Amino acid sequence: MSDIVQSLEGLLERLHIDVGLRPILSLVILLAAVFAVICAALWGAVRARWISRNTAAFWIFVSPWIVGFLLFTGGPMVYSLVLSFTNWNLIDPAKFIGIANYKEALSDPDLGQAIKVTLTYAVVSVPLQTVLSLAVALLMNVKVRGIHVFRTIWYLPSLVTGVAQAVLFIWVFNPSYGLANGLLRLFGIEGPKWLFDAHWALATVVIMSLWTVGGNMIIYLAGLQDISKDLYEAAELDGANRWRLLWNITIPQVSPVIFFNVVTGLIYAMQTFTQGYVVTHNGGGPADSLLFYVLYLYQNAFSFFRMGYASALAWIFFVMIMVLTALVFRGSAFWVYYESQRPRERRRRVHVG
Amino acid sequence: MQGKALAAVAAASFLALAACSSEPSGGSTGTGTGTGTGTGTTKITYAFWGNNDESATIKSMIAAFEKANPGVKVEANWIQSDYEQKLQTSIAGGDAPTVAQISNTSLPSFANAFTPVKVDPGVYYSAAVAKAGNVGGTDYAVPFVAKSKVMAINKAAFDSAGVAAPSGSAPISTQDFVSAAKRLTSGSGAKKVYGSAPLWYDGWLIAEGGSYYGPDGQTCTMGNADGIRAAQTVVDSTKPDGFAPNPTDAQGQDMFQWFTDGKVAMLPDFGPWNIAKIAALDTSKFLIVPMPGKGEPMEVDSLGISKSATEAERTAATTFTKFMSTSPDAQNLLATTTSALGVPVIQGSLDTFKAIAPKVNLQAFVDAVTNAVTTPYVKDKVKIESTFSTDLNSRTAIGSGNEDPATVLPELQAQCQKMLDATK
Repeated sequence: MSDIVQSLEGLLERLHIDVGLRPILSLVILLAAVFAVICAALWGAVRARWISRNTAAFWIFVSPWIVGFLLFTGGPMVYSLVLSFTNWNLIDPAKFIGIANYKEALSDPDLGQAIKVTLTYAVVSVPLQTVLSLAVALLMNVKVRGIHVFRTIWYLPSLVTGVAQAVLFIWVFNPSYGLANGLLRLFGIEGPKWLFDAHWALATVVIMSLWTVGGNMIIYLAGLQDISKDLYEAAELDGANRWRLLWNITIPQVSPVIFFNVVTGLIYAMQTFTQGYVVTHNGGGPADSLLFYVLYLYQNAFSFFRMGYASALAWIFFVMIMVLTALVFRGSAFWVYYESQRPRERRRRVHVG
Repeated sequence: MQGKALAAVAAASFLALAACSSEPSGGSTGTGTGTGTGTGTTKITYAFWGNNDESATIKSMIAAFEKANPGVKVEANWIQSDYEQKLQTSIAGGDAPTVAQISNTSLPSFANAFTPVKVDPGVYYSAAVAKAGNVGGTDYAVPFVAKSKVMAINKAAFDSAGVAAPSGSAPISTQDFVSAAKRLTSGSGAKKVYGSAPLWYDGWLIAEGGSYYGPDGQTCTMGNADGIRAAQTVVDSTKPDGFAPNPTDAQGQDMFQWFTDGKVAMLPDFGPWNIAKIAALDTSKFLIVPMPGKGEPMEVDSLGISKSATEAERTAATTFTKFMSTSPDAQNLLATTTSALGVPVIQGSLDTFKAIAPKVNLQAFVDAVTNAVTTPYVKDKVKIESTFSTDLNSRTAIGSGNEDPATVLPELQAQCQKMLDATK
């Protein structure tokens, strides 16, 4: 493959194409060739009456995604599955070692710590984010003058994420000079060491995660504004108070949105990496208190040169997330309300399995 | 009609690819084909890390090489972050740079990606430098810059405390350092002036005469008396009545700034990258002296040549690495008044190096290079030392723990030994 790319770049050089454009043009030529082959094959299939023109059109339109998936997701996944059965340091050729990596994972104490940290973070942060972002969305759904300004203010922090957010909070939670302990000192309280205390580090990262509730708030806000006003009016005529309206109308109506946010939030929380990486590189997260699963995977792959073991960890992690997501999906039958479903279908969802 | 056009496009694509793939690959040599730059030139790529100033230094060395060797074009591949990870993936992806900069601590992990090279130990004034590119008895990289550690002191602080300033040539003992640091410490709270910046355990271990491993790399030794004494000194230094800021107070702070502000009197673990900064100060107030005791570990950066390089690239790369490592034209550029990558590794460039800040005793850096000890090759070093460091910081007051180093270190040494034995 690299030979083909190099040759294409050589061809473009002979055509006096600018050096900076050669890699991208090589990729474009390669993709064009792949699509030309796909189109030619489909055209042949239509001519031979194996498939209809509509079917061919479907495959042509869906082929960019399929090619992208196979090249950049499916292919690497299969490759990593193969690697998980090898011992590979990225420098020497990989050696097949069967299921030794998976066996090692079963007795790896650091992996146990990584799972503990990651699950604790996910289990604590996701419900907190859900409740807070829904509460803020309810507040921001009130029709008062200047509400758009408040919505903007709540959403703005979501623009500062990743490394920038982690660095910002390292300063906010600096035990000696940070804003958090500075405020506590005003009340005569000597604050904890936050990210630099093994017992507080994870809790601090959970607090950091609430910084970005504005993103979920927007989604909830859209869901809340989609609820029919007729429902509220009917309930009020029946004498429902605000609590009743929230519990019996708002929450059920917005439950599909909550479900979406919980599922995506759970997967996102399980994949937490940046906070652990940045904080530990700045002297925080003692005693592996911020050893998130993906950080441990990264360490094995790129610090300890154990790509085979890291690949096995990736697949174990994949299965873990699949199981957790499946559990959330299964559990959703008990609390997610879909207006389009009839009562009988809803009962079936709950009792199936 | 559309079908014919489609078939024509597909056929043309196949032909183009077939034609391209029949071209010779890896054509970075002399005839101007492939990635070559013109008739008679060979192009090689060179990967290195560093900040803006360090990158500028390297690029000036490359320019000097290209001027002296017009037949070789060096493409600079400046990797600004996660250098080793990116180097690893480029090697794994079959796109390794022809020449890669590598530190002596990382070389064992990358050695198999490099082709063995010839290193003439007689060229270098330091035995430690000459051995820096050696792994398991084979030279895999050519040393070109040494990053020795010294200690910077605030002369005014010594004078006002009535403490004799350390000599610029002979290191003081670790006991004398502790004694001086205590006497230089004064005040309390936010106005406390510290005798020393925080001590780095790995560095202090060497200063106390200890080491992570025995000379053969087969045994872990950090739990012996030297190691325990080093840990105890680090722990005691950050106690409320200690002479160095604790990790919490030092977190996120620029110790060089504290040093110039007079908030710390001694700055151990002072690397050559600070030379330009200290040279810009009033040099009559500051002095560079050797690290106490037996010094600190020294990093030596070397140049490895990719195993996958073609014969022509290898020849050009050998010329390039030799120039960078042994030519005064390159070595004289390593340190200037605006940026210092490190200490030259050849005798002939030392006068130029010392001339950039004649009043602050840069000879101490050179002495540290000359006297540096080499560390043995240890497989899985990164994993072993990462585990040790995490546990040491978690369990003792070097980090967030409170256990006695005298109890913890022998246990961690046993754990280290177990991991070391597992690699055999």
